[in-house]
Amino acid sequence: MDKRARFVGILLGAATLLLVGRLFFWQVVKGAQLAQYARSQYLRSEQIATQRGSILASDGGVLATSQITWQMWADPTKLTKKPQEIARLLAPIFTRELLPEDASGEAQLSFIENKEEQLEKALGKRDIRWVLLADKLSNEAKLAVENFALPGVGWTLGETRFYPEGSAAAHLLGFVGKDEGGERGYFGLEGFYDVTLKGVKGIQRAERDVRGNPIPFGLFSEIAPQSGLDIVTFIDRTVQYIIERHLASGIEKYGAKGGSVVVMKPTGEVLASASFPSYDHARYSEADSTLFKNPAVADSFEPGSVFKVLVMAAALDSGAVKPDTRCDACSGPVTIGKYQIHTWDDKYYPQTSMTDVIKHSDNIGMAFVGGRLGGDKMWDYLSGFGIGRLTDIDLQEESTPALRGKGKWGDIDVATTSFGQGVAVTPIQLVRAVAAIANHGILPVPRVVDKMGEGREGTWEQEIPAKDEGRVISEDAAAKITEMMIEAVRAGEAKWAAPKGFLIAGKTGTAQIPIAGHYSPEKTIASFIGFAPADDPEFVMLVSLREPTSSPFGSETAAPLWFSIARDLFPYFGIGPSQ
Amino acid sequence: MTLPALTRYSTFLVGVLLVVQILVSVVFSSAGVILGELETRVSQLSFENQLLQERVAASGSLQEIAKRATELGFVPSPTAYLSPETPHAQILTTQVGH
Repeated sequence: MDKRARFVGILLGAATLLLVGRLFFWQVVKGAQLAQYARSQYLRSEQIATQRGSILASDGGVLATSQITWQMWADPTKLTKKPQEIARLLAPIFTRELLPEDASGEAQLSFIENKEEQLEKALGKRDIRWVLLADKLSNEAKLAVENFALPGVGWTLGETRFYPEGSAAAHLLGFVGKDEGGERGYFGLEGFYDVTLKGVKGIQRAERDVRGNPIPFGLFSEIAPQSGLDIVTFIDRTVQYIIERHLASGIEKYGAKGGSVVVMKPTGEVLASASFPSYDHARYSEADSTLFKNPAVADSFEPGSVFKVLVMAAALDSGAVKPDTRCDACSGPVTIGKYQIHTWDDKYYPQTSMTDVIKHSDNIGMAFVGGRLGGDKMWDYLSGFGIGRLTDIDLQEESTPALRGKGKWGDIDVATTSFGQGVAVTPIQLVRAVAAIANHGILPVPRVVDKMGEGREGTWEQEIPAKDEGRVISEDAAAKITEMMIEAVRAGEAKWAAPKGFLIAGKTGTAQIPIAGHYSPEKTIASFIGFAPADDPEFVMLVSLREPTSSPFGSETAAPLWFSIARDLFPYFGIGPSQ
Repeated sequence: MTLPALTRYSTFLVGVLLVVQILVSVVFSSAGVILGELETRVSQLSFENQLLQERVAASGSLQEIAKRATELGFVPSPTAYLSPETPHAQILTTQVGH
């Protein structure tokens, strides 16, 4: 009996020890790990998304904002209708969503057929549990599909960039793409202000019950998200609309391969800019990637005669010439080394005044001015006007051609640069340099963004202060070159197209395009740059057309286009005739 | 206070606290559901708010306004400027009168 009792006692003792050991194992050894498992079940960690900031026009109109979109997917094993039947229902909805509104009927039919085929193939894969049917569908499309009550179809919420003004100002705005770190802005404002617009995602950790409801007084911690900031630009939607409409029709009218228009206040606020050919930034993946860079800030060209106003302004400021200085070398072509310089129309004006040199766009007269100014001074002034340097405009892709180094200018370089050949500029550099004349001699820093803030609900707002690079030429020199530019519009080659009664200062330019070391006689870049009203400028505008075919000359293409845009801008800015 | 009294008092206090804990748990167990519903409502409203903002942005675009204006029959009007100068016809009449 004792033996049996002892045996049972040992057995019970062993069982107790085993239980205690097991308890010790789970409670102490594995305790921390189990607690972690439990926490992972009731403590949920979620990323708090932020909305990308909007880009607004100067009047508060939306140029770019975030839009709710849906990714549509299906589990083919749970479908209750035949793939062919579902494809036939979905294809027309996808077509309305994914094809541009102006697509032809033929293109729509072909798209529907292709889409039906693709959908049927995707939905027929019965061995797969997840197939993507469409991405970036609007909420309206989702509601339309939900009307069909299709089991096995699911949705994932997403966000995409929405440009209410269509492809207007595409080059200024840029687009939002994706890289390994998520969405990212490329080119233009989207690229330059990417960090500002993007914001920072937050994280929330909270205890939740089995149904996902929050547990009151449970553990809760949050790293608050920082929403992307809205940016308010100087872009004027009306001016943008006007220049895009005129540029498109001007390119067609003059048979040009492309063109650009930039409108800026003399103090540097960019009001509008357009370049064609362009692309649709909402469908950037379908566009030719060579069109992404903004030609107004990233493409350089030989400016030709529009450059004469800068060299003349420099010569007037330095005292090298006066408006009534007579050119004693202007009676015929000039030979410098092995080169002979002619005027554009082979007409020569002996003893011509400096005002007439600008009026007639006289290359010989400008070579005379360049000679008086000298290479080193010309370099100083051109560098002062911002030639060969980035303008620091707030657009991502700005680039600059180099200006030949100081002290490395031969006589022929001085002569050709004085009439805008052998030197390259970007359109924005040229606009800024002429804006310095309109701004009484002070060089502005171009900028597109006025201020940034927390959006409609927020109160915080920060203005971006205006900048300038100081005085380049005296107020007197600026006034004198302005008078010459007024005379060039009033009595120059493009006088026939100028609106009567308005005080406009401007200059035409026709630059031959260098091809394989030579200038092409037919291929030109025709341009016109000017500002108005000349006595109190409201805007500075550059119009340039690449390879116009109706006429190679700026006076017959770019200038009339400039004036036709100006005719629409005058009433908008409240500018009336003054003469 | 004697030890038995202290024990009785502690036991009573623990009992009361247990009852309070049970009552609080019962009351707030349903609050979690309400909180969850409120969270869903907030997210629905913010979703609808964003949809409305998109619609406002689309309707206020110049492209849309221009399209609607064309549909309604509006045409661009040419700008006319009034000049203070005397019209030619009036000058001629005056000369004839002389």
